Amino acid sequence: MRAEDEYATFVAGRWSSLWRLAYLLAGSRAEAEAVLDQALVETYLHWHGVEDAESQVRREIVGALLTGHPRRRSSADDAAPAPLALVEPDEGLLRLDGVTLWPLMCALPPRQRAVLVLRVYENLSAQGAADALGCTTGEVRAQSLEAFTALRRAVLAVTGEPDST
Amino acid sequence: MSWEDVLRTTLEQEADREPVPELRLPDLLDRGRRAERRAVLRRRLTSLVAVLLVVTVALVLGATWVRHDSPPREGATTPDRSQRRELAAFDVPYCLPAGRTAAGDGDILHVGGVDVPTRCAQGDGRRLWYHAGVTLRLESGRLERITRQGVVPLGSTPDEASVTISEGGRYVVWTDDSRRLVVDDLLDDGDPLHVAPPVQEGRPGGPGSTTRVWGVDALGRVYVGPDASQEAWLYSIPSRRWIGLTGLPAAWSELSYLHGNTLGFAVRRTPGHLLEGQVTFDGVFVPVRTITYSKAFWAPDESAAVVMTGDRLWVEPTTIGDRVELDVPLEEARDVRLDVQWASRGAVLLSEGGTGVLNCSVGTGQCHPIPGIELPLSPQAPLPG
Repeated sequence: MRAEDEYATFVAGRWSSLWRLAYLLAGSRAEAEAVLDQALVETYLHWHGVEDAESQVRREIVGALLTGHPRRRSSADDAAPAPLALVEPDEGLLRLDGVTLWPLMCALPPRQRAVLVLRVYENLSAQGAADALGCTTGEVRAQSLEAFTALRRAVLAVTGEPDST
Repeated sequence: MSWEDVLRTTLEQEADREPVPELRLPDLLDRGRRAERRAVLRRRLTSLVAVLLVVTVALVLGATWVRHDSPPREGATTPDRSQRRELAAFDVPYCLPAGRTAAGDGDILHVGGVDVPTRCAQGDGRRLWYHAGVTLRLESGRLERITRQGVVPLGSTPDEASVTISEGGRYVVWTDDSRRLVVDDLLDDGDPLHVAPPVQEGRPGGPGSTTRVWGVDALGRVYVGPDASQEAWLYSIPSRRWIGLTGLPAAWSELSYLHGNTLGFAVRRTPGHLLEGQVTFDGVFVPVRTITYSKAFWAPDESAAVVMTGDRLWVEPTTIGDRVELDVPLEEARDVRLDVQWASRGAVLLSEGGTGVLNCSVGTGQCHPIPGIELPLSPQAPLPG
């Protein structure tokens, strides 16, 4: 199989999951489309040396988001957001649902949001997340701690529960 | 359902909620091919410009390289750098100091092309530092750099607290047996530079004075200050000059190197806060803002950290579990000096300014005093009480 055919097979097979990852990392459709497009073109350029294509695309997406990239604006930016689905919360997590958490996730600094998405959604190890972010596992853990702390404080503030800090 | 589960569910639902756009594979392949053509063209142009530049420089200089000889360095007594040796499988790196930990006990570190399990042995003359791609090891006063090719001896130091890697990892700084500052430029194969302490007007520095290294920025500016003193200096490696810092706040008790040319001073009248500011090239400290002082002491397995913010102490898990405030008697003017040692995953030892040691439960936050011990305990020492 030619290299370009291999690349095309990979992209066609992984398109949905890569797009969802880009969307969660970027927080908007337009930005997700821009970074995924850039990441896939970069992966095309380096396809011959790529051992793990999915990790490579993940690295490119995260790199594009954290270091800046040409942003495209599409009509999707102006579209009204669809209603968020509610999570069935347990008793102890009464107001912790998608309505509360997703906007707060989007408000996190890009690197902290990326750490949470990679660790929680992609289920990557600290080493896997460090590879994607281009940093050490120690930095991943530190960013993870800061992100969770910020998220918890924000949730407490939004739900009106007193923060013990 | 835990916080993490709720977050995972939220992310999955949010990802599913957005319709996935149609993949236009021919367009993508076309953009890839065009980008590849541009990359090839750019590489050729770069090569051409580089060749032209080299030819021009060679013509201007008469095709002669003039090597710039460095000025003689004072007392450079360093080990032979050709004495490299492979790191044996059992001769493994150790735990890293808190806050800069890159490997915990049992983690795998790649050294000399070999996967090496780490071993925690901090506290008995062994330390390991890792920052910006540079790994240093101290054992019995000998400072070494660990590289993929093996171990490179750098020098010796009686003061492990002085060992510092610069932002960006270009410079390594420590103090030698004569309390001189030793500066090693890792981009330069020459011997390290030994620098005598600064001579202050009316009070010369010398072997008796202590030089404490606060931090080194990426431009090679070393921030130092004698202990128990209101003085601070910077040593500029590129210009080889000492510059006394001016404009410092009155009655500061602790200086923290934050990043770049930014320092933070703990001032007694505002406990729990740092006065953050930047140092100009001529050594003037310019205050910028007051920030809450926060310091983290990581558990060896990085499952949690003791975080000090203001005058309160918390145990913060690295997952989304709840934080626990440690029930430590508060003092009005808590200093930023605090010794913390993790005894186990569930217990942490605290000592504040020599006032005795508290054993605190990570789960409940309750603390009780342990008489007759001081921190740090050696890793093998049994825990009394």
